Amino acid sequence: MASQMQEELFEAMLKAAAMEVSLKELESYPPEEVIQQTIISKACDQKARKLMKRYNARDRIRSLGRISRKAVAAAVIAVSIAIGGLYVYSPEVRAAVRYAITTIYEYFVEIRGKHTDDKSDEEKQYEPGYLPDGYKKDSEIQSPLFTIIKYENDSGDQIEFMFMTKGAYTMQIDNKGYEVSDCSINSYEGLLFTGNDGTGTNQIFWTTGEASFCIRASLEAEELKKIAENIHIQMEC
Amino acid sequence: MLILVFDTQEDKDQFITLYEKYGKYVMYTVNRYIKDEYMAEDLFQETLIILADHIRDIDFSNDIKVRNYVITITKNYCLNYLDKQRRSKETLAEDMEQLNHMADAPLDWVLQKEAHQKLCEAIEKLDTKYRTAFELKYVNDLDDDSIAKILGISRKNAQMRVYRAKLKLREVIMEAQHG
Repeated sequence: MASQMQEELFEAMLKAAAMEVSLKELESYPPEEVIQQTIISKACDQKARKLMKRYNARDRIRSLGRISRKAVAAAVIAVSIAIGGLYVYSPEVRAAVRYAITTIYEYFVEIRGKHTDDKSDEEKQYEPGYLPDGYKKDSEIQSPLFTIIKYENDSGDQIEFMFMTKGAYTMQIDNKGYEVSDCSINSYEGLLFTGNDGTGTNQIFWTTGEASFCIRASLEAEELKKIAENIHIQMEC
Repeated sequence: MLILVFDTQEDKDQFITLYEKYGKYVMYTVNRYIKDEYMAEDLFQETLIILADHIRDIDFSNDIKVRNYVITITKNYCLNYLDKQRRSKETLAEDMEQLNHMADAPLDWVLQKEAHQKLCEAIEKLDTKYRTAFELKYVNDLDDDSIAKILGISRKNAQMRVYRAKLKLREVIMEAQHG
């Protein structure tokens, strides 16, 4: 008992000493005004900001992978309904996307649909038939629910291409910072999310009934549509 | 079957906050250790990646804690880089026996200002790799797994570094106690 108390006292002493040393180190730094004069070159700053964009995309992909691995579909329904209830919204139910029902809320767009239950679709893998110059395949994540393929150019700009082919789904796409409008991809209706937060990121979603697709990139909407219109089934080698 | 695609604005804002508020602390710290401009920029970028990877460990409500965390990680990264130039290796097993012995030794101390002062001095003199792990645990309240991931070492190695730091500090207390 006594030795346990001594251990706890020792731990407390360590913490107090550690805090004092860390504060002392901070005091050895010059004042904030001097620190803020530290120069970060323009190139370095641009690289750091690109890093932030890439970090956000990578973090989103990791989150998607975690969800599918843990198979929390039921929990996600409950969370999405709860989140929908918390927001103040004026839902505008649209049948604009033929094979899905779209509901636009204040902060996200919910798309619910069901793919045709065709066994032959199980083996279909899709890929872009057109990409802007300089983009090469960087990574691919495959899960039972969806596939995400990432392409990257030498400047670190990325194109994310996601597709899913099985069963029913509910997708929520964050629309804060985007203007949502209808578009058409090879006669299939879709939704175009045009970024208005200055990052230049746009995304496009459409479904054919057999498969659903989403492309996200820092590209003009027309370029995004061109990629979308040239999606095809991968040929087996 | 369901898919939730959810863009966390909070995480996005935190990274921007981290960079805009503390980015220059990172660069200032890097410049303290690395004189080569190009290497400094590379290490700056790499440190940002490490900080971003563990952004959820950062308590943004405490400015001093965040600054300390940023400086500690940056310093460790720079010193690791300089250390690799000298290619020093770390062994795990050598202190195990001494560690076990010290853990059983009775600690019968009196809380004195002098003991606290000696502890502070001893922490400042700790080898950087032990001090970093120790500070991440006792200042930033991180667990062993988080410390291991941040430092790029195994969990066992992270635990060993903290234990070695505490071992050294116990010796200091015992010396202070027994004069």
